[in-house]
Amino acid sequence: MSFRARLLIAFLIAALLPVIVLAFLIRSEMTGRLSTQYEGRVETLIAVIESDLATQSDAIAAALAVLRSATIANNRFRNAAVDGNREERPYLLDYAGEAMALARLSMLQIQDGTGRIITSGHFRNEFDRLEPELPRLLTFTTNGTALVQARAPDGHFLALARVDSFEIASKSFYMVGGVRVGPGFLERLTRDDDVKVELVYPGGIVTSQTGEAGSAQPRAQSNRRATDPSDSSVPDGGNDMTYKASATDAIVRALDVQFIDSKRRTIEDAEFRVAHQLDDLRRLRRSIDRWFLVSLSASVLLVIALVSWTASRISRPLVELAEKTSAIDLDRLDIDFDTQRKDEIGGLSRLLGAMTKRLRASAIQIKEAERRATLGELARQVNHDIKNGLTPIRNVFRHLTQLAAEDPARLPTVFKERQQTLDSSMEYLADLASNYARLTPRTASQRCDVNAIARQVVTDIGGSKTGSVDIRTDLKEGAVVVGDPVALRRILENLIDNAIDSLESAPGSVGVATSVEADDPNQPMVRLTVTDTGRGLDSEHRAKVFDDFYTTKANGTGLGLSIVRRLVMDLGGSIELESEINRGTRVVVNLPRAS
Amino acid sequence: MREFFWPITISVVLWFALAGCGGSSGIKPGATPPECDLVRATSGVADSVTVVSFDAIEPEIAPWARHPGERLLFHHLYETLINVDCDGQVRARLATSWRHDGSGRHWIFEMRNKARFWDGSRLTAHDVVKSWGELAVAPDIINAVVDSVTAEDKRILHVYLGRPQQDVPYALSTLEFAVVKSADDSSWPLGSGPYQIVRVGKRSNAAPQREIIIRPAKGPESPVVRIIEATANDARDLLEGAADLMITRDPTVLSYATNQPHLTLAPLPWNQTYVLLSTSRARILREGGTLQPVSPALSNGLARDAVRTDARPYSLPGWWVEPRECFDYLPVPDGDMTRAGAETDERSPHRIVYDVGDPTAKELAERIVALSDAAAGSAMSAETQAVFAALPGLQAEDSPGMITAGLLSDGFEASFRSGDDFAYIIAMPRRAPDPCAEIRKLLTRAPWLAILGSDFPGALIPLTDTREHAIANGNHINLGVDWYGNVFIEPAP
Repeated sequence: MSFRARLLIAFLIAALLPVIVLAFLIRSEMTGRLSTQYEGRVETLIAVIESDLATQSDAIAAALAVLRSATIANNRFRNAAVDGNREERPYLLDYAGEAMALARLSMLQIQDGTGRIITSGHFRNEFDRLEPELPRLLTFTTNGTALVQARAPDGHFLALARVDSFEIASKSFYMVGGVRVGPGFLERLTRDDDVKVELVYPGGIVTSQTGEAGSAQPRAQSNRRATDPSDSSVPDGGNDMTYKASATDAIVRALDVQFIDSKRRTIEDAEFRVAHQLDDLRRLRRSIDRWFLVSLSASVLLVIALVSWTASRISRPLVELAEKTSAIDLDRLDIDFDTQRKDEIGGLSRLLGAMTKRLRASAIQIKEAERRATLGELARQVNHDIKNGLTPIRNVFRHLTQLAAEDPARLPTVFKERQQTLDSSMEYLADLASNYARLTPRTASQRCDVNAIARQVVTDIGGSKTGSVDIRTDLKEGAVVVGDPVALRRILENLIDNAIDSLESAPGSVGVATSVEADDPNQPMVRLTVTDTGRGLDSEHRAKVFDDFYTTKANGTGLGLSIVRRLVMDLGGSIELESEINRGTRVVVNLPRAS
Repeated sequence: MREFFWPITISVVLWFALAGCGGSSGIKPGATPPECDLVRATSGVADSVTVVSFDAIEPEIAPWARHPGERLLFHHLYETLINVDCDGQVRARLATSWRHDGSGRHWIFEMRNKARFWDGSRLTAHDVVKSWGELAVAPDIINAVVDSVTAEDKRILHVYLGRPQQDVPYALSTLEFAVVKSADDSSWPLGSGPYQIVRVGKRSNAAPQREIIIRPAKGPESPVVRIIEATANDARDLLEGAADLMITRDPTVLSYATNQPHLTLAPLPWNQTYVLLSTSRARILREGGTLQPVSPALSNGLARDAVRTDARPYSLPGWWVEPRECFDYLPVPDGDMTRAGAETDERSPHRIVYDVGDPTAKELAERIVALSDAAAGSAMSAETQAVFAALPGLQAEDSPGMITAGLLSDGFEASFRSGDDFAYIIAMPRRAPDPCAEIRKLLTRAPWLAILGSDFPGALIPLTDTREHAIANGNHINLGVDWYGNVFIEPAP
């Protein structure tokens, strides 16, 4: 796994994990608090419904009591209902309607002792219907109040009803009155769109939000409590509040009430069910999720950008260091590890620079040791070579000595015959000497004025070279180094020759400059710079230009710059080459300045 | 004188000869008064009579009347060719004599010579042609009776009927056939009736209701009649105040008036019959099935207790019971029963539908629903059995029951036209001047009945007859009434 990938993973974990945890914590905290709040609302509403039902029941009872007194005192009612006065029958049929309106009830029917409806307010023309069960069952309800399904011409409606009774002339009458419990009744209880109140009864469901019941589907399970109210198992509880399991999409609580099914002649269970929809909560959650995803995405993008930037800041210098380090060998210890960075990379770079410097010193020592070792070998080689060269000579001299002793007359002839051998052996030895002289240059260690040598070289080359080359010098005072002046001359000669050659006889200029650089106060350097406006080198050639036997010239040996680099390193310096195709080349040689 | 003897003699002979060829001879005007007495003044006739109308009176539709206020006013303002008195006798009015050509289709009317509009212009046969033609407000009603009409001259009118009638058509006595003339300076058409309009405007600044003042067009100038538009809420207050005459069927007002000695309650002829129209009966008839007879107990019970206005059990015969000859002559709409009872399905309660503006229809519908919802297990009353007989399919075990549905007038007519619902309560005129025209009108409203042809009366169950009452305040008005229940204020002698 790459360093960048590891860095990305680390950053992602470090940055995103807290965000995710925070989001989940906020979500669960908010859900908990809102759920608690909603539950409180629902329970409050249940209490309000319970209280409202009690209030309504009391109001119905009071209205029925007033109507009872008024009815007993009403002579026309007595005439019609008790005496059967035909003339008063229309009055009797309309009586409940007017009384119901005055008492502000939604349901009122007066029944005689047999249960026959003699007048009905909510259904005027329902007279003469037999319905003895309703008043009887109402008397068996716990609080005298129950939900009943009242008939109306245009359908049934639910009413919260009570029963009252009275006697006129020893005839019993029942008065059943109530208020309508419909969507309006339920909507009155809540004005919050998120809170829905439903009345679930065996005949269907009335809801505060969807309109009429009637067509509602019947309940799946009928909670019948008693098949006959005279049974001792009549419910004893009044209006009980029961808690229902919260659905996933709503918080639901229920309040039990009693319901009279006149047709079945039973008292059954019904319930007001309050449901707080969790739409708000869901919307809030979705909003949080949305914003969380937005922030998460932003964080991811930010992390990727940060990681890329950081990785590049860290890995690029490392790559550069690696490239520099990979270029180091015993012949290439002039790699520049100088850097302005103050961080660990800078420290590492400087450490590598110091190490390279130590390696360079060690290499010089090694080379010196090698040189010395080589001298012994060379001596043996020279000995061998000289012996090889001297052997024919010795043989010729032994032959001549032998002739001088045995046949002196032939000496001139034989000498002439053997002279060629002597000449070739002598020539061989001379060549050998010449070759060895070239292989083992003479080195000296003395204070050298680089500027003086440079002027001399420029003068000499300027005298020998022809053409339109403009050699410019910019030589600063103090360019003094300790070393072999011949080596310095060879360095300068090689560099200036190369510069002139790069012009390829075209008009151009060659610059020779010296300066003293004091970047390191402990080791000031003399900088020798040779520039030209020649053909330049591409990157491929630049990388190989210091290698042995590598040349770009038709008749070059490929040893010029290699010797220059070796000579520079022998002087404890470094050499750099910068070049650009068709723009020219710049060679910078840094040599330790003489103290 | 001799030069006049033969022409007169020949004319008399010819007149008797022509009269003898026709199926009916004319009745001379003035033989009996055109209306019968309803209320007689006992303490002198008042100079002014205030009549209350509970509905707005619109001149644009005159002489076609929609409610008692317009009927009363227009009968005073406009004349028809003939009248029918309270006994059903035809009386001359604009026409002095009439006869037909033997076929009963072509009738010739001779116009009154001195008939004049209020502006003094003469009313001629040409005015009748124009009035029934380009000025007709209800051309459908006219065309249902009359094929064409032409004027021979100013006095002779030729009327060609849609179907032959051996007796003079009573339909010509209805207000739709009243003769009017456009007025240049008024939205009220000119008439030739005994009264003419004096003023139309607000009663006063304090009372924004409109009043229409009319006075006798000739002879004595009293009584002046003020017709004021009022709301039904203050009907009793009006009787205690300015109102001298009111026509109503409101049970509350009738009950009040019964107990007030200064008010005279005069019942008008039974003029409405409520019927139950059942799509299930129509389907059975269409499929050739048999229907159970409906016990008169239902009609008796409904009239006795269910209806709050003045009602009686339905009294035979209805004008629709013998429709066969109508189908030979009158175009009836194409019937379509594909939607009859379409809204009735197994899940929803059956609907018995009524016009929400008709309280009597509502009461009848409610009583029928109450009877149909008889308590299970108890013995069914004769009325309940009659309901089940009247509404086949209602007694089935899987029947979802029945409810009432009051619809606004337009909605009711739309439902009635399509026959979507289970049953309908409608009010029909008790007396039809032209039964075939009424049948055509009914079948046009409910084309799903037309497919039954002349068997359609089987889908009708008559329920009750109702009537209005005229309430006169005090004893200083002379009121007459005709065969249709139209009330007239008789001028001072």
